[in-house]
Amino acid sequence: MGMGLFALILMPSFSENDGIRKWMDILMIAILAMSWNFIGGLTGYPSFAPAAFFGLGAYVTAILMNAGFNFFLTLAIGSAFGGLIALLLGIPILRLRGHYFAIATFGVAEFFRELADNLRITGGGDGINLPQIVGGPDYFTRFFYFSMLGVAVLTFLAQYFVTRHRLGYGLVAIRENEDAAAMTGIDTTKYKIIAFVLSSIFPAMGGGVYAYRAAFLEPIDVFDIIFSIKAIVMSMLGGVGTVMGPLVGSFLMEYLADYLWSEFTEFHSLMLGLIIVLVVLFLPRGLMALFQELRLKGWSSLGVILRSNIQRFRV
Amino acid sequence: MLYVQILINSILLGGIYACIAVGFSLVWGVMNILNVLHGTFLMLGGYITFWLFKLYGVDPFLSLPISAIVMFVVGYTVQRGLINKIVRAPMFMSLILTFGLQMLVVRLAIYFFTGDYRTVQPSYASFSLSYFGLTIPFVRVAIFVLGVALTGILFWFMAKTRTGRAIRATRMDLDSAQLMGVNIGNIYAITYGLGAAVAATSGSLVSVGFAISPVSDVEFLSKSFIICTIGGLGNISGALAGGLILGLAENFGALYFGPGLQNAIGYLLLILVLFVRPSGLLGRKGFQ
Repeated sequence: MGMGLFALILMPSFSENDGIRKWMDILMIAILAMSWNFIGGLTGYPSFAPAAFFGLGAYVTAILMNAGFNFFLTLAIGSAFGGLIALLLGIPILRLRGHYFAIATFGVAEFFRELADNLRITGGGDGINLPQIVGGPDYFTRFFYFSMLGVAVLTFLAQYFVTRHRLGYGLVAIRENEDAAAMTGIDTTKYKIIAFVLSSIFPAMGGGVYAYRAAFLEPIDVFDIIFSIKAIVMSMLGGVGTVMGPLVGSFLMEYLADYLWSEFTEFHSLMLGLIIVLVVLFLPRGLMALFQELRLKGWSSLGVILRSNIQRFRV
Repeated sequence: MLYVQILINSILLGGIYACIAVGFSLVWGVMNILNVLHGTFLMLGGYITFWLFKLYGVDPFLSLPISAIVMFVVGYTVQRGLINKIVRAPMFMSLILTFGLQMLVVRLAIYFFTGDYRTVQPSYASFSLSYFGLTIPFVRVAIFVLGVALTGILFWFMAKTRTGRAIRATRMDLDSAQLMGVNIGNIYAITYGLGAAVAATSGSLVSVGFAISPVSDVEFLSKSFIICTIGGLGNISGALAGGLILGLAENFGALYFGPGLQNAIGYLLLILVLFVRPSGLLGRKGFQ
């Protein structure tokens, strides 16, 4: 793990600005996927809220920087605000289960977008400009890259410690059987709210970095439900509920996306759709589980594993 | 008079909303699948009607059965070939699978149909009835009547036919239904096909009164979310009630808060109903 971080820190010294920008996008998706893991992966509550908090953080940074605040201070305020909103929304929303929860979080994301479209403070549908960063392209590319990397490291550490802490075990217990978890003395409401807050503060922070870098925000860009979808799909590709899964999933997917079909932008969503279908059918437990099985049984059994995966949940 | 006019508009809109949502409610209620492809089926139904009208001059109301039959076959195949493979997986798997399919289909639709907004304009499109200063467009009334009739047919099918009873039995208890000799794989595929057929027919209706494009599907889908949650799952009258309430809330909301916030009102209503009464206004408790 240390090696990977080391490589990510050194990378900008050897790379062109284009390459750095690519990795910045990968890190952004990884932040969303890792934070989704708190509520969706560990707790088993399928949230579509990442886009809501990503957009919220982006707009907080935009509005505060226009009022003259320091960039890093706006990130802190944005994530605190995101966490507060998650706390207030989480209390009623987390009483819902299954698809109702999914729809409620979807509704929250769409409602925020409609609000940003109509409020004066957000600039409405015309969007909002941010102060331009001072310095040449070499400087600001690295500045944003390291800001994004910082947020990603924070997210990873939070995830790492939660899974090794009482909280993480409690969340997994809720996922497996919420009523049984409550019977063993876990305060399920409190645990779920903590998970939801954790899954909201990091997207808000990442959204802030995105906003300063983009220098212009539109509601339709930052409250795009595709951010939520990507967070979920990357986690699934890697392995839901594991520490490394979301990270592996986003790195692999975005990297592949970039090399395989970056030339054909109109086919981007086509390929993403196809990959989603294939992952759900053949890798329902993700790549990490596949690697584990392959290590036990050898590469020759790949076909058997994939075939048994698709047989597992059929009627 | 303004209020009466808005009331009439709301009811006409509510009827088509109910029709849009009823297939979604069926699939969700029976199989616990949040079908993201629902809006896409509506959009495809609309395009079937549009192209039949544009290329062969088929009257839009005559193409309804064609659109229903074609999309029934498509829906049946999708469920049999893909979704049935993961029906017993954790529930958000089916959601993500249908989402992946939605991205594929919408992308292809943009490629083949272009992103332009289209609307079917038959010769009688501008007819309207006027009484006491109230205007009632003929096409909207026709859409309303057919939409409500379609919902009624589905209600009759579920209540009276053998297949309808098998679907309801499967919804109540999967394993017992199987023991009684119900072929679950087939019943699921029929249910999904019915959902797609009803969606496509309402899409055909929508294409006459409103503009459609390949990306309209998201709008139809979020309306279905809202209507099903407001009305509650598990019965067709829930979809009717949800559709009417949303129609009223949108039209009166637009009057008081401005048309820009019309969509926001729908989402706000959705979140409020989930807070206050998660099972919906007419839903049965514990029915997921």
